[in-house]
Amino acid sequence: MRRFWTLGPWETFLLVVLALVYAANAWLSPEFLTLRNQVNLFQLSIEKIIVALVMTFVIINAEIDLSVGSMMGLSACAFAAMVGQAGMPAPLACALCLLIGLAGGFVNGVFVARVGLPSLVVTLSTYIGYRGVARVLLEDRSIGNFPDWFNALGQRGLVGPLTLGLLSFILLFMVLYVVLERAGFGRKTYVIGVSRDVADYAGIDTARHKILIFMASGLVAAYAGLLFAARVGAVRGDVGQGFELDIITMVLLGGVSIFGGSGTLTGVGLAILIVLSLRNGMALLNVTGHIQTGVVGLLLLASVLVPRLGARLSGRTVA
Amino acid sequence: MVAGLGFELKSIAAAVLGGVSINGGSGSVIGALIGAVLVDLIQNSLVRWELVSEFWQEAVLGFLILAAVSADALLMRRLNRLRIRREKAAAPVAKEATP
Repeated sequence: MRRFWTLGPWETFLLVVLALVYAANAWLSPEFLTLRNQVNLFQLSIEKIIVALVMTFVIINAEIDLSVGSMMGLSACAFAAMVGQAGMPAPLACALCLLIGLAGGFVNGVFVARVGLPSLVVTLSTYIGYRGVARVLLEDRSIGNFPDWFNALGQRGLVGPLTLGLLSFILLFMVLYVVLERAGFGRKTYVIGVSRDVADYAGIDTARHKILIFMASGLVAAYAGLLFAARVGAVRGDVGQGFELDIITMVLLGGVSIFGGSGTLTGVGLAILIVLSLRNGMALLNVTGHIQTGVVGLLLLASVLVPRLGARLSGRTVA
Repeated sequence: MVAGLGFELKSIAAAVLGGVSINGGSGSVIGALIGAVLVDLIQNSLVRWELVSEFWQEAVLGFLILAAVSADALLMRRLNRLRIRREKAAAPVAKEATP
């Protein structure tokens, strides 16, 4: 029987790094291990880490989705325009925004899987396109005055100190872990990532599979946009700008190959924890945001170099 | 900080609109030049045209690239299919001619 929880060499390495980061942080600042700070640590970039979970599927499938940041912006702006300007009831607006996310992901998926264009180009153009529509909706205004319950969902704890965003992250992680590691859908995702031709000959409807994954990506990005609107309480046209690169950084650090076909959700989860606790720890030590970004960049570089160096030292080739 | 922001997309848009294939292997400098002029012409007219607000610039540019790239892909597929059909049509004639 297969063990339920397996750790590859890369995940073990990440676990060690995570333990070191946590130990150093706890030693350097007494505030770090308090529950309030631990919730805050997730809460400050909750939108990014939720989208990173689905981005794992996209990249394992040997595609990329650069449009997630713009989709977050589009969904947040559409929500603001519908609720803040047109006075539509918020639940209806939320549902419509999620539909926009599904539709946006469907457009990406159809152009990638049916028309057969590289996903880099398709999502690059929808990255401009969706951002453009978001700007058309709000022009250069900033819109707030959402209902109180909506803002409370983004800011206050729903179950104890856990916010809706954090709860959805945990729930989504568990669901996607089962789907990726235990279900047929996940196995097909890996196969298509290794070789789409092989998957086609094996009778997998690869186009349908890819469209579904892009739709999931759009849906979750739209949901993250709503979480952002609820957490921050005001929306501008540039919500989520540049988030896609942070998200892709976390996924790649988690050991997912950019060429598709390999990587695990456990690794991505560990990488998310490392990036967040590193940033949070540095913030507690009054390190500026620019240096924080630099350190995360170096970490990503190291994540590419370490496995290659290790392989060269032990005389093996990189798998 | 903002210098060159978004230029990567504009340059790709110019090349693709100018007929450079996204999969590589075909295209010309003259085409890319005409593409660049076209992209800037569209952006400039959106600023000047009062009927459409200038906020449409980005949206129009994004969907324009998507349309150009997919038109290219679909056209290439059609051409390929045409070529295969012509080769199939030509093959029996060639067989008859050989003996």
